[in-house]
Order: sequence, then structure tokens, then C-alpha cells
Amino acid sequence: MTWTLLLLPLLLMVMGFPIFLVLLTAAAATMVFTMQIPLVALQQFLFSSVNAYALLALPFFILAGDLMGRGGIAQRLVDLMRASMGRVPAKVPLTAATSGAIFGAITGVGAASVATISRVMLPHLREEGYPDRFNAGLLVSVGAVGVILPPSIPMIVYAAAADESIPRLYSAGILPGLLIVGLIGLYSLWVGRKSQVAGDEAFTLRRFLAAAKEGIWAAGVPVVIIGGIYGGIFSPTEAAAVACLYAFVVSFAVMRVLTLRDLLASARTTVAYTAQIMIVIACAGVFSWLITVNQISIAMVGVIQDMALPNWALLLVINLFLLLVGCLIDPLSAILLLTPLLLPLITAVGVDPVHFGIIVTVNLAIGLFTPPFGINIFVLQSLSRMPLGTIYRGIVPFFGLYLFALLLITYVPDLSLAGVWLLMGK
Amino acid sequence: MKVLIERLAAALDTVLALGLLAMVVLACVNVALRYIWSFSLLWADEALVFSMVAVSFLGLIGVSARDQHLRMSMVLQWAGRRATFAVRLVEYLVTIVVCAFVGFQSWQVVSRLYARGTLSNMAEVPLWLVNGLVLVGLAGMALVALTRLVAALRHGQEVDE
Repeated sequence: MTWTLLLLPLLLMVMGFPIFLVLLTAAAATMVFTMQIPLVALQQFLFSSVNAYALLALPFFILAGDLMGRGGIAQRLVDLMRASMGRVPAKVPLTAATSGAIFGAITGVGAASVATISRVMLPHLREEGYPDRFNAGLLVSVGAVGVILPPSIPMIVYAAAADESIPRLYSAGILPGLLIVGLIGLYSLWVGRKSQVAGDEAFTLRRFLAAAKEGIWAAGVPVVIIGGIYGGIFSPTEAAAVACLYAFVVSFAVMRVLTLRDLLASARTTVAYTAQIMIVIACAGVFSWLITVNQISIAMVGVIQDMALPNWALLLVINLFLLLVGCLIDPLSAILLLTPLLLPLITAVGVDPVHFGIIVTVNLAIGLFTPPFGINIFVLQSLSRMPLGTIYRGIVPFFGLYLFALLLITYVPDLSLAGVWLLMGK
Repeated sequence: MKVLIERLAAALDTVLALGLLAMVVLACVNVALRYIWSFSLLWADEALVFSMVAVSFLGLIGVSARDQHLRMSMVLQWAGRRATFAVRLVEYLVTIVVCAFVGFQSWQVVSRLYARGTLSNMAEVPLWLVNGLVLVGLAGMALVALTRLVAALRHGQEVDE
């Protein structure tokens, strides 16, 4: 079983096989050679992994991002941001980091956030002269913040698995999420200074007003999405659809940049991206299920229990374990599987379950952009056609930033719990 | 054969693109109906998800025809032409075998659903039809891989080169 679930996929991946084929071959080989379960489960898990309403946001946000890019909305938004920031160094990556975090938070789907922000920001990052390695790391890592900042889908699942309060978890996620965005922003500033990418002209009211006049319709996109979701008007998926419609109407009828031919081209591009990404999600669903039913994770928890470690070392080992799991299993399955196993261990040494929920979420968020199966990586690769090697190398410093934040979050519980005290009063 | 498949895939992509635009319209109409007439199309969510499944699996035929699958190409970039060619042949073969095998499992599920005549809860779409999208996607990928394998063996080199 170990060779079919671990060695075989590794070998096929190194041989450059498509990711879906790597996962599907490993899953089929495991089921045929080592398990006694009906093989029709392969079809059922392939289908059920993508037959999910929450995933609808993905093609819609990809389409919205593409329409914004083709229709000039993105350009106007970036112009407005630039005009308002004046000579601030690294303002384009700062814009990408901030908008990525906001987008990730409002959609709750990290991959959708990466899809949209990449379509919009990557051309500008390249235009400013930032190396693709940095761009890749920035875009895939900032997309993962969305699952830490509320409203977060993994936190809802953790709350259910740990019998915890969702508002308490949401309150606890705010400071850690902002900490990570802040660290990414600081790193971007440092790269901006080091690369000597100039902040262009100084801020002038005249330039700002001109950009605001040009960008007023474009600024409506985030207003529609954020206002719509937080105003309780529509769900994130509906917000994505409305954003598509808004982007089309503004680009076609108001700005008169987009044509009907462009609209069809945009939809065709979206179909290709959606198919590329969804087949990986479908096959990862099957693979994830096999890891679960083969009790690989449970065996690993048993090993941790047997170690009888002091508190700080236990937390460290659990973090390493969660990081490893996050690289292989999707966050929701991992939470459902591991929370009941790890929670008794962790509460026995006095860790607050809400604090632990944030630790779990941050670890699994890291898994969204780490090899081998971090979905954000494949979304970016699909949209940018960047070599995977460039993306992997670009991830390293951002992985370091997340690890630093994770250590702070793990060993300074107040960082998470302060949000609960401030917002919930207890 | 290769040209024919590419043309068919392009035509299918256009149909799927139009379907995607229709999905956007349906989602927006549902929001508008809810707020303007306090009325919702109960079947809409299910229809949207099934349409997404269609875009995902039928779109794979075009993705395969254009060789756009996501992959880790780092090691292959360093390999020589012969090694790359050999690996690609193995990849086509594995694609055919795995897609045919999983497709056969899919066929069993689809034929069972067809025999039972099961419908979805809200949109009352036959479930064999929706599950059959997986089968069509897998069969399409296997067919594309087969034509590539045959072409590669005939010409003795990578067909795209």
C-alpha cells in the first residue's frame, strides 16, 4: 500500500506525468492491488469531489478575473491604487497582497482568489520588473490567507468537528490572518527596495482625481462582491456570478472596450482553466479518501502519542505532522479526520480548543500552496504557464514567512485568543 | 485523426463556453428573482452544479487535445530528447489504461443508474446523464492519448514537435 500511495505517485510526478494522472494511477493501483473494496468507488469519488456548490465560485471568479483583465477594469483599478500610493515602494505587490487576502476572505475559496488575483495582478507585477519567482510565491501564498480570515469554510468544519463556536473561531482568526498579510507586505516592501523597482510619480491630488474618475466604475467590482456578501445579499458563488455580469456590462456598455467576441474568448479560456483544475481536485478527492481509509493519518497520530513529549515539543511535532498532512490531503478532509484524534491530546496539555483550531487552519492553509499537491500552485501554473520549478522556488521565502507566523501563533496563544476577548468579551 | 479531434474539441469548447455564460445568467437571474419577486428557482443551484461538472469533465477533451494538463515538467526539462520521447510514450499508454479502467468502473455506475432511472432531487435530471459526464471525459482523454500514441509510434517522434 505504501508503494502505491507514496512511491508510485512520486515516481510518476518526477517523470512529468500530468498531476491528475499521477493521482488517479496511484488511486487505481492501490484499490486494485491492496484493497478489497468495490472499484466503482473510483467513479463515485471522482464525481462527488467536484459535485459541490462551493466549487462553483471557482469558474465564476476565473471568468470575472478574465473579463476584468480583458475589459480594462483591472488596469483602471491598478491605476487608481498607484495614483493613491504615490512613491510607496512595492505598491503593486502590496496591492496584490491586500486584494488577494480580501478576495480570499470573501470567497472562502483560496484557489478562486489565486485565479482572480493572478489574472489581474500578474501582468502588472511583470511590467514593474518583479521576477516571476517572487510573483509566483506572492500570488499562491496570499491566496491561502483566505482560509484563515473569516468567513472561513475550514473553520466551520473545525467548529463542527470540535464542537466549538464558529464566531469564537472567526474572532480568533482575524489577528493571525492580518499578521500573515502584514509579513507578506513587509517582505514585498523589502523585495521592492532590493529590486529597486521605483514607485513612480509622487502623489498629487490632480492625478488621484483623474484616476478616480477613470476608475469609478471599476471600483464597483469589489464593492459588488464585498458589499453583496457582507450585506447578506448573495452567497460568495452568486457574488462571483454577479461580478462576471458587472464586469461584462461595464467593459462592454460603459467603457466600450470589450466585444462579444472577447466575451466568448474569455468564456472559452475559463472552460479550459476550469477543466484543468477540476480534474486535479477530483483526483485529489479520491487520493485523499484512500489515505483516510488506509488509516495512514491515524497511525501517525499513534506514533505522536507514544512519544510522551513535553508541551512545547508536542505542539512542534503536531505542527510538523499537520504540515505534512496538509501537503497530501485537502483541508476539509484533514480537519474532519484529525480533529477528533488530536483534540483530546492537545486539550489534555491545556491548549484552548479555539487556539488549536487556528493552529490547524494555518497549517492546512500552508498545505494549499506547498508541493506536491497544493491546489493554489496548479491554479497559478494553469493561468500563467509558469514552469513548476519557478513556482516551487518562489514559494520558499513565503513558506518561511508562514512558518514564522505559525510559530508565533502556536506559542503565543493570546495572538489568537485576544480577538475572542475583544470581540466576544470572553 | 488528430486534426479531426482538435476541431471537435474546439467546437465542444465553444458549446461549453456558451453554457458557462448561460450559467452566469442563470445565477444572476436567480438572485434578481429572489429580491424583486421573492421567488427562487429551486432547481437552479443543482442545475448550476451539474453544468459545472459538465464543463469540468467535457472540457478535459479540449485540454487533452491541446496538451494543457497541469504537470511537473522540471525533471523532463533536463532530460534528453530520447528520454523525453520514451516517457511520453509511457504516459500515453498509462493514460489509455487508467482512463479505460476507471471509465469501465464509471460505465458500471452509469448503467446501474440508467436501469434504476434515478433522478436528482430538485432539477430532476437523470443521474446517469450527470455521472456519464465523467465517463465521456475519461473516454475522450483515452481517445486523445491513443491517437497521440499511434502518431508517435508511426512517426517515431513526438507529434507536437
